[in-house]
Amino acid sequence: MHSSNVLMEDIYVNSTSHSGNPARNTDGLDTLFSDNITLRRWLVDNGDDGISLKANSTNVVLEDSVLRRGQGFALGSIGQYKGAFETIENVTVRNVSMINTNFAVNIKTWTGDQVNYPPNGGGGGLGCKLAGIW
Amino acid sequence: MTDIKNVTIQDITLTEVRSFAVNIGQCTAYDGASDKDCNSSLFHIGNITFDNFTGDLAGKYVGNMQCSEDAGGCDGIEFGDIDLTKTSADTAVDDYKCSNVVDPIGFEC
Repeated sequence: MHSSNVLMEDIYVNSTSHSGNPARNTDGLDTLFSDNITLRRWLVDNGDDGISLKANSTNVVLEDSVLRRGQGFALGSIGQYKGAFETIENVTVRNVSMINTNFAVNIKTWTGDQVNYPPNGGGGGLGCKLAGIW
Repeated sequence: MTDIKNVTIQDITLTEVRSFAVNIGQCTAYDGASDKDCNSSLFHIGNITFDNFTGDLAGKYVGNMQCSEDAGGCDGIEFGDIDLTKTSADTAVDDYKCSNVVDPIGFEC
């Protein structure tokens, strides 16, 4: 979170379950409020999002990597905080192998209605349109 | 104005992917929420290119895309070279399911 100009290469993340229970909330990496991030040669074997870019992640490159068994590569979920301006911009994902993941790519936003509160509830987030930026 | 934008996802190999290659949804809500409105999000998703996807998957669609009507739908969504087969069946997977996908590029809903 809140990082910029970061390079992370040759990383192995394993967060899997050996019981019958699913490996929930085991995201390999989440980026938040981060800019200019390069991820190269990652191997993530997990149950939830392999790598997820969340609010205000910009200029991100993911390449030459493998995601296994989890939910794949995610953009979001985003828009959880009512009235908050959030964005995800300028992302390149290239040469990635998705092995037995649920999706290759999953892009998800919260609905426009707020129900309950974060961390488990929320909704009603905005993008730049209503924030009047740009 | 677009809030998730300029995303390129290319040269992706799928091996026994369990569902669709690409899933887009604007439905995330509190677990206890009933009647969630998947067309209420004001988040605009646009300018996303998917190119050179090969391999196999169990899902019925290349892309399962549900976009929010209140956000004006998703636009600038492009699929390039997609060569996917159904796992253990050798039949092509080349269908797309869409809701509020505006002017699809390179594919048909």
